[in-house]
Amino acid sequence: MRHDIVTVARKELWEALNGGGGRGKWNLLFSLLVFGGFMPVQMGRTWIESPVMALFWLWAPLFLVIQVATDSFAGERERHTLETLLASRLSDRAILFGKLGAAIVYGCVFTALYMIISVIAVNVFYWDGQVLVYSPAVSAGLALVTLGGVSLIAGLSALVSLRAATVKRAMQGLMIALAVPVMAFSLLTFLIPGESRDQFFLALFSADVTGLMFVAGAVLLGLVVVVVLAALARFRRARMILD
Amino acid sequence: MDNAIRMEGLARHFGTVRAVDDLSLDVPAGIVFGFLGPNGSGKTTTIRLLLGLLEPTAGRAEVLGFDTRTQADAIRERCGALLEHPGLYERMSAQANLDYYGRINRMPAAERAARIEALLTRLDLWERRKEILTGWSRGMKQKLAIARALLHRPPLVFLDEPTAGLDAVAAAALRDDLAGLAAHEGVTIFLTTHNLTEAEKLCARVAVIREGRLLAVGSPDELRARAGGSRLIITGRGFSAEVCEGLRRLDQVRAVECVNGHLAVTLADGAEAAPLVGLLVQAGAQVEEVRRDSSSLEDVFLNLVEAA
Ligand SMILES: Nc1ncnc2c1ncn2[C@@H]1O[C@H](COP(=O)(O)OP(=O)(O)OP(=O)(O)O)[C@@H](O)[C@H]1O
Ligand SMILES: [Mg+2]
Repeated sequence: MRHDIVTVARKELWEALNGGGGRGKWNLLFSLLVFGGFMPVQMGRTWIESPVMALFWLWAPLFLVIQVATDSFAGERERHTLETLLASRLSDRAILFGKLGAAIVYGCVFTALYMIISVIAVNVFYWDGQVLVYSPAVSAGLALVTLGGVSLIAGLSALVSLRAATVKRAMQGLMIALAVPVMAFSLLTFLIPGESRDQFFLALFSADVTGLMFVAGAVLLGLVVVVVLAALARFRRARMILD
Repeated sequence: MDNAIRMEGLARHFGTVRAVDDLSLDVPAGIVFGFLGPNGSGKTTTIRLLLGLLEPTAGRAEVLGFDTRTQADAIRERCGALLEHPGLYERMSAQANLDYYGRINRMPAAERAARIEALLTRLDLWERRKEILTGWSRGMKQKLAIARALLHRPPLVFLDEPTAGLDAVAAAALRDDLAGLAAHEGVTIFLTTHNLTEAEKLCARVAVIREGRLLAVGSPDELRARAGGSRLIITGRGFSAEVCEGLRRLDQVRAVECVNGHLAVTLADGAEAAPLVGLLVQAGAQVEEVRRDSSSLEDVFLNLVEAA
């Protein structure tokens, strides 16, 4: 089982990096430079001193994760390679976890690289005699939120693209899936009386960011479990062929 | 195990379309079995059912002794498949494609490498193994996909129109390989094809289906004998329009065609040839030769499909 997951994940990662005639690598390098270099240098030392900034920019790697995860199911279906894979001896779980794992590893490695580059960039451009880095607690919090966020998005992308005929359809489905919680949240803040709303946001922003990151990370990982279970339930080989 | 595949009343409907309809069929192990039928007759759907990629609406099937509903994993582990589409990763090289499936099938690294080299060399693709497939011709991709299906030496191989896109030389080479696999290694090959000449050369048994229903099954010779017995080709002179009309009126004659100076007479089931010849002579025709038509599988096929 583990061997099979690694086999599938390896191939997905290879395709993510080498797809499109090597364009993938250049896109990646470009994103790393923009998000890891350009943005942090614009922000200056606050980038590291106030980790909310780094948190805010976490959406950047999510787009890469969405790309890799939707491509691995809906993309394979669109290019007519999925059915052959489904006819192989791989188990449902090996296929699902391999593809999901690849997207998660991809997103996490990208985020780690981009954090490292950003720290180096800020230190180089705003050097004041001593090295400025995230505290171990903040690093751990960021790692947890990254893992949770990347896994959740990868899981949702997989869930949506399991039965999507094309990558485009999967993207549309995902946009709807992502819009629902955002809208629900806006609606909620709108319905809650003004006073308690202000209190909530005050409490949120004055709270200890590191603690908040741990809570958020835990919540995200909890959601990941739900989404992965849903994907496993939805992954039925006998219903994966669409025409 | 005598039968590699058993289908009992197998059916799969899509809405009102009966893609496969009450199909009962046995495929003996160790032969090349041809599955023939016009477009949309349910060949691809049958393969999908046998590999557990679709659930049957009714009936059941056993492949290598395993039930397709409950033991599909065991089936897929023992089969190789070339489905409707070659299913190749076009952004990867030929070698990487095979290597991926070698890993999926848990072939040890050394064996994998050796087998890939042997197969690609055999198919004249070894020199091009490092190319990505985007620019490959349809036939080249088809050959590679067949290599992928055979890679892990499965005891049962499903090939959905394997020679589609292959040139005559490549198709002949593939036929030799498949025949060899069945004869020397006991591999069962279940293939669909539209090419009846090919089925005739290659398949020990064929089944003909139409609209999901089985029309006939047997060796190509048996099918030919069944259909060919009812056709007479009569060569000679004096086959006037009246003579033909006279023949048509007979109960034992189903159809009469006059082509290039000879008569092609389709007889009703069980009809004898001799009385007809007597009648022709009485009517003033000069008969030089009478023979039973050894129709090709193609005629058999067309007859079956049109009659159904
Ligand atoms: N997933 C599906 N959804 C709806 N209808 C389907 C589906 N798959 C097959 N069909 C229908 O089932 C019938 C049989 O299709 P199938 O692909 O099995 O035919 P085939 O014999 O392989 O044809 P061809 O020679 O053209 O490959 C067709 O009428 C087709 O439209
Ligand atoms: Mg077909």
